[in-house]
Amino acid sequence: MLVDKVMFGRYIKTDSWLHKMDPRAKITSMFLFVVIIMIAHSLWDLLLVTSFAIAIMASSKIPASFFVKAVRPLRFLILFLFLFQLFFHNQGELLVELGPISIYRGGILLAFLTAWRMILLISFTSLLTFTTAPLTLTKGVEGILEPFRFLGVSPERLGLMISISLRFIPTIFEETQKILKAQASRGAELSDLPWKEKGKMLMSLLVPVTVGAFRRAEDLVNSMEARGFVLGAPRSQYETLTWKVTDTVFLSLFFAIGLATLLII
Amino acid sequence: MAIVFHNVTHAYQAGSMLEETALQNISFSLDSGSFTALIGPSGSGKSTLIQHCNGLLLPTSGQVHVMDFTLEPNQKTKGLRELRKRIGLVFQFPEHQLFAETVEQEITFGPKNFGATKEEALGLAKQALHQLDLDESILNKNPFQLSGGQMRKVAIASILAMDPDILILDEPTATLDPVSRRELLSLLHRLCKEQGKTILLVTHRLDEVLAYADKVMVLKDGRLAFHGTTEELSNQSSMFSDLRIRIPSMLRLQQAYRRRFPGHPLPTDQSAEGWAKHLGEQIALCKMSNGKEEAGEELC
Repeated sequence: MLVDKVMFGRYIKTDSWLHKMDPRAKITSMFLFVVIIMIAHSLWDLLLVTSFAIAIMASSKIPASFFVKAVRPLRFLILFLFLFQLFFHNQGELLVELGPISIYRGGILLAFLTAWRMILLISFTSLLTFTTAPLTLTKGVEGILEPFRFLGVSPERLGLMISISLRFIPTIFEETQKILKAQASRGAELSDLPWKEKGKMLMSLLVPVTVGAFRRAEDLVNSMEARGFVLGAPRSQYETLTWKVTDTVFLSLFFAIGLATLLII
Repeated sequence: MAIVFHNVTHAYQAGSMLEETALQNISFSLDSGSFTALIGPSGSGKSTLIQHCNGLLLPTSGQVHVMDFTLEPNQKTKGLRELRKRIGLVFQFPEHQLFAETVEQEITFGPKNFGATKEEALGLAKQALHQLDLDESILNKNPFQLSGGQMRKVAIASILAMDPDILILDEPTATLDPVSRRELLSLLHRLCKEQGKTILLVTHRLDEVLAYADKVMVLKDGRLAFHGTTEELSNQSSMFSDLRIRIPSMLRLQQAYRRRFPGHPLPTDQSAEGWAKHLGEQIALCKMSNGKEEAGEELC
């Protein structure tokens, strides 16, 4: 099934220490991780970052297969980046030359490093949604955006938008699945058809799903209004975020790794 | 046998840590041309079960035989077209699957996919509209401009137009008005008895289908809790309280009648008129046999 294959944005409950962390710490450290990946250029840098990332991923108690599934959808992009670096980088010793294709030693190294960084980036950052429930994540984003309020950013509005979209991803997926099945029962089986026919059949899927999304949006607006929802009005919170010592330690770890990659050349 | 389940178990996301068993060891068989009602609380696996009947889902273990097709675990889903052609599956809220610009395109979509020519499909569409008591003039209308009830009927017509041998419907009467509900059920009954179609109807309103159904299946927590005729169902009052389903009023009437008039036959015609006539006859019979009215009342 389609839903089984998509791992992005999914919450996996294993109750590890990562699950209990403050989402703000996790979001900030993910940003730091992206920066670290950017500045990690040498093989040794990457080895250090990789071992650090694997240690944290292992401590999340989430099976490795989930990380593999998270990377899978982007395998073609990674392949493209790999080939791009392989063919168009021309430093170091010339190894192969076949007509217009020439492969250099530097190209091979860079291609491997690029693919490696990409895989590391996707699998590690998927940890954020794996270990953070959508609502907590939204609160974290709101918290992070709080300092930017003076710039005209409204954290509540953004938070609400994010939480609604996250909430409706599985719903719309489910609905899509249902309509796929309903149309398959009417003889419109996408996988059974040649490509040209597939395009036509796609309409029988897209129209109902779009109509359904609008119907849901309207229902949601009405029910929010019926409950007297006002954006930005003072609200009591069911759960509040608390910054603990572990959060500070966690974040410092990333700073330390970042510094280390800067120092190792 | 139209549909046979043989030790069917189905688990969603089998083998992963999110595995969830929806059906456990289900075995049953439905005769061709029979009308079966499938009931059970929400989450008991009704929708999962019916999706096995045309290969939308495959069993995790066990086998499903539908007419001369066999569905097994990990089978290729290609080539199920022939099966799907002969099985009409009406999902819950079928009006959500409407997509075409006109009702005609909508209803002829299924038949055309299964190889009918334009003329044949139009003929089938008109026939389906008649069966659902819709006017032919709506063929040129946009389905999204119809009322909710009409959309539902058009969606059901789009399945009927495929002229399937087996019709499976998932709560088709929910949110319909009482008149349309009765009309739809008697249409299904007619299709079953006159055209020999096999009907499997998922419902929450046992009351409503009891008069039409030959057999009743009850699902509970993914297991088959009961499968038998509607008469056998009347001995199962403990199961109903177990399942938190209200005993259908027809069964309550029969039980009350048996308590009040032990040993007397039930009316052959189970409709309201039939009952009234039967009770009248019973009272007259009592009066005749006893001469005195008071004594007769006591005896009966």
